Amino acid sequence: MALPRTVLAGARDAATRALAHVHRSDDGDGGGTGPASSSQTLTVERPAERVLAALRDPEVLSRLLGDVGTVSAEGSRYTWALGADHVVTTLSESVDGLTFARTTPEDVAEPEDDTEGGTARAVEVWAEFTVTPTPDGTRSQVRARSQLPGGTAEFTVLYRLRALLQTGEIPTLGPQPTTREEDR
Amino acid sequence: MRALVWNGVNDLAVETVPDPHVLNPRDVVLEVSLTTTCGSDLHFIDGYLPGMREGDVFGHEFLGTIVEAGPEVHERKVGDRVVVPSFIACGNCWYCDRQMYSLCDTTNPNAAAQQPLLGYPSAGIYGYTHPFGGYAGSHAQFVRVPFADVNCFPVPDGVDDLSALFVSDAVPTGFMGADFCDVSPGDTVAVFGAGAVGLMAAAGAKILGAERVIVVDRLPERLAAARDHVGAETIDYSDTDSVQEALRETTGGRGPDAVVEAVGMEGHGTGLQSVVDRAKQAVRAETDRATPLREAVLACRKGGVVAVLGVYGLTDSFPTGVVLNKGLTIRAAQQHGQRYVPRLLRHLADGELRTSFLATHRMPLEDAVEGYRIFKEKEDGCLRAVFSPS
Repeated sequence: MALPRTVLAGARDAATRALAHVHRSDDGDGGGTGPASSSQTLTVERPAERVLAALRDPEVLSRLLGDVGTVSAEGSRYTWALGADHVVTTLSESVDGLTFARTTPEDVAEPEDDTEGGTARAVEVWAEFTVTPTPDGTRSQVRARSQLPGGTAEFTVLYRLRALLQTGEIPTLGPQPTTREEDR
Repeated sequence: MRALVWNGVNDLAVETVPDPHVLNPRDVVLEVSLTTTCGSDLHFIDGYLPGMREGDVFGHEFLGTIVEAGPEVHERKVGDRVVVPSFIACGNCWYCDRQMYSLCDTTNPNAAAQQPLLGYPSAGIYGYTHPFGGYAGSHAQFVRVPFADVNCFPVPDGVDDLSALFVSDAVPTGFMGADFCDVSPGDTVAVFGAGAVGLMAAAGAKILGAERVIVVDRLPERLAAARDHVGAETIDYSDTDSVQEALRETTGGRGPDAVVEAVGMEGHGTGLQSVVDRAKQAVRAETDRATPLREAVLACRKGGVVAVLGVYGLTDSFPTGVVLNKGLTIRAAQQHGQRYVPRLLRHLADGELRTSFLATHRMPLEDAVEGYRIFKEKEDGCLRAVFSPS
């Protein structure tokens, strides 16, 4: 993918930092009082069902990540390979979107009872996509939210998603950046 | 392959770099026949526009022959002689559907870097700064062109390479500026700047029916080109106390119906504001020397149109109150070339448009560093330096 190395390194760093902020969620929607999140919204000139299908597809997700990493899936269990880090998430769907959430019971320092009598688990929203169809159904407003700061990662993913769904391609420079080979 | 690269501010070199290849299924690779300088290149060469990286191949105005085509290229084929607009369009997005091709929503690989600057990213462009995509440029033996069916326009047999070359950028940019003016019969259009884009804006205004076209510049050879090749009237601003007054007088006190600004951030001028701009730009307290832009706003008649084609960054002292109180319409864009190229090639084939006079200097690509020096210094009457890579 075409992002410069500094941007890629920054994205990986940001992802790593976000992973360090696993937090407890009591409201069940992945929100809660954890670290600040960022979001971006773009309009994709495709129906909502096509957008949602793309976002469920690990091959598409891998293309959206570009050089940052790859995604594999077994059922609703999605593994995000980001350099040396592997993040396991669970896909959950609602009427208007889908959420990839990371559940990490081992990170809970002091287990406490929840309403079902089990052990509370830390849930981190890894990525959340809300897909709202336009009234005529031909387009979709897609909102991406994550705990990565700044919104750059969300915008990059949505921009690539739109490009892929509308043109069949993601704009790319690699492996032919304009800069010299040693700078790649 | 050999290519002209940017190694730093005012540091260019012709070097050997990796060849481009088809990367996406709708790509082609062109063998570049001709490629030319553009005034907008000077902004990053001189260090006023950030976002270049050492080793970048630049250049965005070119034509060539297709030598490699991706599997999803259907309307173009290997061997086609084509001219390519500088901004890359996909043909599939909301903006392309509305023929605003330089605003294409899908072709900028570095869109996230540009979003904070513009709010909404532009299309990608060949051989420019990285926020504009970071694509390899055309000052090279070969260049990769995405979405070939949308961006490659076959050159008619009767049109020579040199004439068609400028249909890549200077001609559609200028023509778009004239088109923005909504020219009606009897109109007077003033054009600030007699570089290639300004001259083509003047030619475009003539084609679109302007009764009078008045070109403003200071370089005698460029003003002569406006008179001799375009049939425009001219004003030498360095020999005039006030361009505004000169235009007012020659239009019976009403002013030109539209003004095209075709200079950009490194404009020259006279007067105190011009001195202030130069000083602020020198210490990087302002990106623009915007005298021509301000003059355009002041010179245009009430209710008229100011078409901005020059490349600007952040302009101080823009006369917003003048725009409001005169009821001006400001129109601006990077070129939507794909909208205009077919028409412009027909005008060339029909002899209604002449462009080859813009190529005042021709040389091999190996001499491109010297070509840019001549172009930058406007030496020897240089309008454009044209490079032959092969």
